[in-house]
Amino acid sequence: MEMKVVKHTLYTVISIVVAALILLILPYLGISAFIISFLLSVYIWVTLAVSWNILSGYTGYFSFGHTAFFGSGAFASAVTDFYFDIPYFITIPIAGAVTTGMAAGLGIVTFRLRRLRGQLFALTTVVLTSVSSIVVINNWGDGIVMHSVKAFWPFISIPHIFYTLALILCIASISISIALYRSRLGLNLFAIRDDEEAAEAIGINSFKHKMIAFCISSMLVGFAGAVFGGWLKYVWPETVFSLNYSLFPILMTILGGMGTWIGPILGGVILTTIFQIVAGGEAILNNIILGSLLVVVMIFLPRGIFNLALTGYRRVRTPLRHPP
Amino acid sequence: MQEKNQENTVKITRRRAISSAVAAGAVVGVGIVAGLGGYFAGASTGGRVETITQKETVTVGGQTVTVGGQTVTVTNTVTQPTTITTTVTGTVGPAKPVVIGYTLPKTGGFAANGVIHDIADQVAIKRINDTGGFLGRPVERLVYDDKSDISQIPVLYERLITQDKVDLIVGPYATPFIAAAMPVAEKYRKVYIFDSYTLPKRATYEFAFSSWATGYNTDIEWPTLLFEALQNSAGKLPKTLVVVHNTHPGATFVASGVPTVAEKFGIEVLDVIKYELGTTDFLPIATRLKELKPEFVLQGGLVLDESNLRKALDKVGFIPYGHSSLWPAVGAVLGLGPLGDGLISQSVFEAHIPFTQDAEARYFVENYQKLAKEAGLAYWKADTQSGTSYAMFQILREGVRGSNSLNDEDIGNWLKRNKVDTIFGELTFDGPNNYGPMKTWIAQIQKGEQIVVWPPDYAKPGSKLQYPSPLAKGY
Amino acid sequence: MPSTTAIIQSLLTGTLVGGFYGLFALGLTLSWGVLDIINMSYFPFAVLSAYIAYATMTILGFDPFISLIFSIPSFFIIGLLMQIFFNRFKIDIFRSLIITFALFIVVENTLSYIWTADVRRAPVGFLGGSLFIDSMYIPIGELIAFFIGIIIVLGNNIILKRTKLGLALRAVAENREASAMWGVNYSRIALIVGGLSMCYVALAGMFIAIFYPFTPSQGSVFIGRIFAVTIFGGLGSVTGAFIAGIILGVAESLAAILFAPSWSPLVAFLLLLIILVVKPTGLTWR
Repeated sequence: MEMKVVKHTLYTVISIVVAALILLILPYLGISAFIISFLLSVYIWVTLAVSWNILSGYTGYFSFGHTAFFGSGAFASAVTDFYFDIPYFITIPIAGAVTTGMAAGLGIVTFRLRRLRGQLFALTTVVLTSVSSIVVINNWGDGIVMHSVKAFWPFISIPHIFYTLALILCIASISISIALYRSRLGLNLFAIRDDEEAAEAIGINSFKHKMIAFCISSMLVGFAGAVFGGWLKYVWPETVFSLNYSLFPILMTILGGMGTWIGPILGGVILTTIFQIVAGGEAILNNIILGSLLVVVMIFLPRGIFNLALTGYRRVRTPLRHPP
Repeated sequence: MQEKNQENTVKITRRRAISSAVAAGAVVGVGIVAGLGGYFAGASTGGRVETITQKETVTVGGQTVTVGGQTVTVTNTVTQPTTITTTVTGTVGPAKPVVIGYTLPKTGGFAANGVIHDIADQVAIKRINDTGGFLGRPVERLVYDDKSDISQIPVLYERLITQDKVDLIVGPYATPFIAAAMPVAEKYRKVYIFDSYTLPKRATYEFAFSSWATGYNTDIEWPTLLFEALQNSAGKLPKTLVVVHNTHPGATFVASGVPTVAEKFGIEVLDVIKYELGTTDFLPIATRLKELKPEFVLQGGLVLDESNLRKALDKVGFIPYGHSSLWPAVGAVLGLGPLGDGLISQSVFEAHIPFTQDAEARYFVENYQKLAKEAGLAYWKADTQSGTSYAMFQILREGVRGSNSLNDEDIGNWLKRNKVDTIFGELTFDGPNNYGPMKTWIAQIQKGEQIVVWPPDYAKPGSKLQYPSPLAKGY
Repeated sequence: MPSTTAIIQSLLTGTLVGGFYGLFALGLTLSWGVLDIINMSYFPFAVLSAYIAYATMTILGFDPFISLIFSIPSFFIIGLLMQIFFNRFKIDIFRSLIITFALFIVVENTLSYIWTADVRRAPVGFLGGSLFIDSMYIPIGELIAFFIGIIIVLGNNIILKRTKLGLALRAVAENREASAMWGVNYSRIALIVGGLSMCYVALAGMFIAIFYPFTPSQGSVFIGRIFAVTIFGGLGSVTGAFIAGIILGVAESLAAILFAPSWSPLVAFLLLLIILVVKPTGLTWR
C-alpha cells in the first residue's frame, strides 16, 4: 500500500511539474499578449477556487468572504506600494500577512463558539466582506494608482512578471491543496466536515485545524489580490471588492467537484474560459445560453465534473438514489 | 452543512481515482487548450455591427496599386507572336473595413448607460460610412461586453489589439474602466479617445483624449459656473449649502473644490456628507438635511442617486430651494414626475437650439432618438450620455481625416494641434493632459424636460435658471 | 450630536425600512431553512415583479397592488415548478447554489432583453409620500410594507403553531428523514413552501418598484444585506428574518445619523456580528 501511495504521488507531482514548466515558458514562445493576460486571469481564478476549497470543501465551513480577503490583499499591496514606497515584490507577502491576520482574528472569535458554528461562520464572512470594503472605500475611495514595476531579466515584459507571479501562486496553491488532501491534517479536516462532534470526540483539535485551513486559504487569497492589483495597476475598491470574487470560486468548485483537489481547478479553468468566450457577440443571449447550460450540467453531474472522471459514463446514466 | 449521499458502491481505489483524475484533467486540459486555440486562432466572432461595402474601380497600367487597403499587382507579359496578356493578381473586391474595437457594459450594473452608448455609436458609425468612411474604407465596430466588471478590461483590450488586431480603439464606458484600459492603450501607442472620464488629472497618457470637455480644473470651474449661473441667471445666490457626495472618485474630485469656490462667492458650507456608491436608502441623509436646512444642496452623485435623494427629501418633508447634481440618469429623475423639476446637473448637449442649429447635431438627435425608441428605452432623448459617445467617434473621424492617416501617432498629433468641430461646438485638446477649456454647462429639469440654462450662448433661448424652487418646503 | 427628534425619527424610519429588508428575506429564509435550497434567482425574480408592477402603473395606470393579482399567482406557480424541478433531481444545497445562480443569469438577462438595461422609475403617487406629525414624518409606502410584514409574521406563527400544516413544516425543517418516518410527505410540503417563498419574492419586488428606480440588475444591490438578514434571523424563521431586518434597518439608520452615511452599513453589520457572537443561535425561535 505504501509503495502505491508513493507512486501515485509521484505521478501527480510529475504531471504538475511538467504542466508548470510548459506554462512557464509559454511567454517565451511568442504567444500573444492577450493569451498571457487571459491565462493570468485563469491562474488567479484557479487560485481563488482552490483556496476556497481548502477551507470550505475540506472542512465544510461555507465561506462567503473571499472578496474581503481579495480586496484587502489588493489594497494592502497598493497602499504600501503607493504611500510607503515599499517595493512591489515585498508588498505581496505583506498583503498575505494582512489577510492571514484578518482570518486569524475572525477565526478566534467564531471557531470557538460551539453552537451553530457553520451558520455563524457564514454570516461573519458576509459581514467581513461588507466591513472591509467600506473601510477601504472610506479611506481610499479614489482608488490607488500603483507605481510602475520595472521589467527586468528574465522577464520579457511587465505583464510577463505578473503572469509568472500568478502562475507560481497558482501552482503553489494547487500543491498545498494536494499536500493537505493527502496528509493527516487533511484527513482531520475531512473528519470535521463529516461530523465535527465525532471528530472532536476522537481527539481532533477542531479549532486548531480550522484555523490552519482558514489562514492558509486567506493567505493565498491575499497574495492573489496583491498580484491582481499589481497587474491592474489602477486599484479601485469597487473592482477588487466585487462579490464575484466570493461567488465564482464557490461555483467553480461545486461545478468541478467539491472536496477533491482537482475540482476547483477544473471548474476554474472551464468557467473562466467560457466567460471569456461569451464576451463577444450577442452578450445577453450568450448569457442566457450560458446560464441554461450550467443548469443542465449541474443536473446530470451531481458531484460536479469530477464525477465524470471518477466513474465514467456508466455512472452518469444511473440516477442517484437518496432516501427522501 | 454536510453532504449526505448514499451511492451504489463501485470499488474506487485510490489509484483508480487519482489516475482517472489526472487523465480527466489532462483530457479536459487538452480539450480546452485545443478549443481555445482553435477558437482564438480563427477569426473572432465579436459583435460586428454594420458593414457597408464600397466597390472601387481600378485603372491598371502595369504597376502596383493600393485599393482600399489591398495590394494588387498588375503584370504585362509579352509572348511571341506579340500578345500582351494582362494578368491581375490579388483581389479587387470590397474594400477592407477599418475595425474600431472597444468594450461596453452590455450586462451588469452599468448596462443602463451601456445601451445608450451603444445606440449612439451605431448612429456615429453610420454617419462615418455615409460620408466616405475612413480614407475610402468602410468602418466597423467590434464591441465586447465587459459585463460592468473592471477586471475584464485589460484582458479584453489586449484581445482587441493583439488578437483581433483592430485598427483603432476607443475607450469603454465610465471612469474606472477607462482608467483600466489606458495602460494597455499606452503600451501599444494606440490613440485613445473616450467619453465618460471624470479625472482629468489622471489622464496622463500622451494620446489620451476626452470627448467630454470637463476642463482640467473641473473641481474649481464647475462650481464656479454653477454659482455664476445662480447669480446671473437666477439673480440670487444661496447663503448656505451642504455638499452631499458619494465615493466615486470623479464625484469626490468635484466636491473637493466646492468649499473653496463657495467661500469666494460668500456662501457658507454647513456640512459635507459622504455616502457610499450604490446607496439606495437616502432617508437618513434627507433627515440630516432637514435638520440643517441649507438653502442649496450640491450633490455629487450619479445615475440613481439624485432620483433617490429627491424622493427621500419629499418623504422627509424638506425640499431645498436649490438642488444640483453631476451625472444623474435623467430618466430616473423624470420618473419622479413634477418632483423632478428644478434639479440642476451637468450637461454638454441637449436636443434644442442652439445645439440643434448644427446640421450634424440634428442628424444625431433624429437618428439616435429613432433607434432608442425602437430599442424600447424608457428614456430615449438625446443628451449628454449619448452625445459624448457620438462625439467620441466624431473626434476619431476628424483625427483620421485631418491627418489623412490610420496611424495612431499621426492621429494623436493632429488632434493635439487642431480644433475639432463636434456636436457640442468646437473642441480643442491643447491644454494639460490634452484637456481644452471646459465645455460643460448648467442644465435644469423644467416642466419635465432637461434644458441647458447657462451660459447664455448655449442655453435654450428664453430660458432661465429657476432658483429658488417653487417646490421648496420644510424650512 | 443630533437632536432627540432626529434620533427618534431615525429609529422610526429604520424600523420601517428594515421591515422591507425582512420582507425581502422571507422567501430566502424559508427556502434555505426548510428546503435546503439557497435560491439566488429570487433576486432577479423580485426585479421581474418590479417590472410587472411598473407596467401596471404606467401602462394600465393602476395602483401597484393590483399587479399582485397577477404576480402572486404566477410567481406561486413558478416557485412550484422550480421546486418540482429541485425535487425531481434531488438537488442538494450545494448544487442549488449553482443552479439558482445560473437561473439568476438567465432571468436577469431575459429582463435585459425584454425591457433593455435602461433605468425605470415608476410614478407612485401617495405611496411615495409621508404622513406628517409635528416635525416627524412617516413614509407611507414603507409603513404599508412594514404592516404587511407584521401580518405575514403573525399569520405564519398562527399556521406554524396551530395547524397540522404548520406542524409538518416544523418537522421537515427540523429533521427531514425523521419527519418522513412520521408520515410527512416531504414533496408536498416542499412544493407549498417553494411556491410560498416565491409569493413573498413577488411582494418584495412590487415594493422595489414603489421605492426605487431600477434596472435589470437592481436585485444584486440587495444580496449582501438580505443574506445577512437571512442568516442572522435564523434559517427558516420568518419571524427571525423580519426582526433581523428591522435590527439591520435601525442600525443603519442610527449609524448614518450618529456617524456618517458612508460608515453606516459597516456599523450595522458589526452590530449584527456582535449580537450573533453573544447569542449565536441567531434569532431563531420556531
